[in-house]
Amino acid sequence: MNSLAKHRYLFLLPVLGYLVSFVIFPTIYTWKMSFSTYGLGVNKFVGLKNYTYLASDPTFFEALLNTLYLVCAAVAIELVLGFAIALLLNRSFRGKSLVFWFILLPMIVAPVVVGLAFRVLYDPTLGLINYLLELIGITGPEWLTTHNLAMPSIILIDVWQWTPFMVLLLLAGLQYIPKTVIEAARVDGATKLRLFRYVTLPLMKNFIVIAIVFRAMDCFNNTFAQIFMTTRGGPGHATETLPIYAYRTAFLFIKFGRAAAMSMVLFFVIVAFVTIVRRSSREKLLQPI
Amino acid sequence: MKTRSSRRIVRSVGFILLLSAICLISFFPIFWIFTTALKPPSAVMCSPPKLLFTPTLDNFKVVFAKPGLGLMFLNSSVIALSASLIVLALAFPAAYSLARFKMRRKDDLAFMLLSLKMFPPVAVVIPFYIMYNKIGLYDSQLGLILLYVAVNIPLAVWLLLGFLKELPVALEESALVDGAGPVAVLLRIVLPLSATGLAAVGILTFIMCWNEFFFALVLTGRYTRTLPVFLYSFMTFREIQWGPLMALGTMMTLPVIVFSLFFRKQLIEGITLGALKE
Repeated sequence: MNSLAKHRYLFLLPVLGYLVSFVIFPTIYTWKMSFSTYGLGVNKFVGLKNYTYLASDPTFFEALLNTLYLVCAAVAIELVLGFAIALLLNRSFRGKSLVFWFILLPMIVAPVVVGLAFRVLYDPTLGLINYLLELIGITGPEWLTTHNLAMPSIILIDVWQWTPFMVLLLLAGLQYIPKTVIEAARVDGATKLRLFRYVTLPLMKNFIVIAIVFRAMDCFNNTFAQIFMTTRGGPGHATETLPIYAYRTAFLFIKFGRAAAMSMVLFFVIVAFVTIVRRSSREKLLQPI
Repeated sequence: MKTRSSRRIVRSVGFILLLSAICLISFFPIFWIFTTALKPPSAVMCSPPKLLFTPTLDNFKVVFAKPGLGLMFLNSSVIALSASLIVLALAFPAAYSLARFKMRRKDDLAFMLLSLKMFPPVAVVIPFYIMYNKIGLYDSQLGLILLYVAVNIPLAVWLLLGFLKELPVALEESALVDGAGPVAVLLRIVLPLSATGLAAVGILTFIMCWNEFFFALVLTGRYTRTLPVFLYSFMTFREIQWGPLMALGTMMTLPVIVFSLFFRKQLIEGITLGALKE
C-alpha cells in the first residue's frame, strides 16, 4: 500500500553501509593486524606471535583479570542496588519526575569530570570522604593508591555513575508486570518476600538479562576515562584494564600488532560474556503470563 | 487504628528520607565540583573542607586565560552538533523503515545493531589512527565527527524505533488515501509527530559526543582538542590546579545539566522505553 515499502531496504542502506565501513571493517582490519608486527614503518606478517607473546605476558593476564573483576563486581552491585531502588520507586508519589531527574544526572556527566570529582573526594589528606571518616574516628585509607583498594574505588565510581541506568531500566520492567498478577498473589496470602521471589523476580527475568548485557558491554569498553583520570592503571597494575593496557601498548609503546591482538581478546571476552548471560537465561525462561 | 496510622507516618517519613538520600548521593559529586569551582584558591583543597566561603570567579578567570579555550569550546560544540545532526538524518529513515515495513529477520537486525556496542573502541580506533594519519584526517574535526556518528547510530536507531512504533499508523494511512505521496507523508506527518523523539535522541547523542574522551584523546592533536581532552591535559602538570580544573569541569557539565532539566522526561523515556520496546 505504502509505495515506500518497496524501497524499505534502501532506507536501511545508509546506516548499514556506515556501520560496516566505520565499525565492522576497522575491526576486521584490527583482526588482520593482530597477526603482524605493525609499528613505526614496519608491517610484517608474524602469524600467532602477538598472541603467544600475550600468553607469556603477566601484565596482560593481570589486565584481563582486572577487567573481569571490574565488570562482574560493578554490574552485580549495580544490579542489586538498582533493583532495590527500582522497587522503592515503583509507586506513585509527588515529585517523581524531579527524583528521576536527580537519578538521571550521574549518567550524563562526562566521565572525565566524574573521574575528577572522585579524585578530589578520594584524596587521602584533603578529600571529603576521609574527612567524614575522621569525624567518626576512622583514619581513612589512601583510596586510589593502595593496591587492594584501588580497584574497589574505581568500582565505586562506576556504581555511582551507572546504578541509575539499572534503576531506570528495571523500573520500566516493573511497570510491565500486570497489577492483577500481584493482586492475585496478595489475595492468596503471599508475603512480600515470597511475592518478590516467586512473582516479581521470574517476571523480571528478561529485563534483568537485558540490563546486565547492556551494562556489561558498556562497562567492558567505556570505563577508560574514569580510570585514566584517577589512577591511570596504577598503583602498579592494580587498575590496569584491557582497554587501558591496549591503549598504552598501541599509542605509548607503538606496538600496534600487539595492541590489536589484545583488543581482539577483549572483543572475544565480551562476546563470550554476553553469550553466556543470554544462554543461561533462555533455558530457564518462564512462560509469559 | 491509631497504631496503624502512626505506622503509616513512620513509613512515609522513612520513604522520604530514603528518597532524599538517593537524590543527595546522586547529586553530591556534581554539587562538589560546582561549589569547589567557586571557592577562593585557599579554600579549594583544605581539611576540614570549608563549607562557608565567599564565592569568587577566580578559578574561572584562570581557565579563561588559558590559550585555546575558545577554540576547544568551539571544537566540542561543532563536533557534537554535526555528529548529532548526521546521526538523526541517517537513523530516522532506517528506524522508520524498521518500524513500519515487514522485513525478514527484523529482530535479528535490531539486535545486531545493538550488539555493535560489543566492539571495543580500542579495536576500532587503531586502524583509524593509522589511516587518518595517512590521509590527513588526524587532528581534524571531520575525522572525529565521522567516528562519533558511527558510535551513536545504533542506539539512535533503536530509540527512534521505539518512538515510531508508538505513533498511530492510521494518520499516515488516511493521508495516503487522501492522495498524499509517501515522501510527503514522511516529511509532513511522521517527521513532525516524532519531533519529541528526534529531540530526545538528538540531545542524548549531543551529550554523548560532548562527553566522549577516548577517541578524542587518540585522534586529536593541537588543533581539534575537545574539552574532555583539555581537562585531562590540565591534570598532567606537575602541580595540579584543582580550582581551575573544577571550573572547567563546571563549564562542561552545566550546559548538559540545564539541557537535561528541560528534557528529562524525553531523556528518561528514551533511555528506558526505547531500550526495551522490541
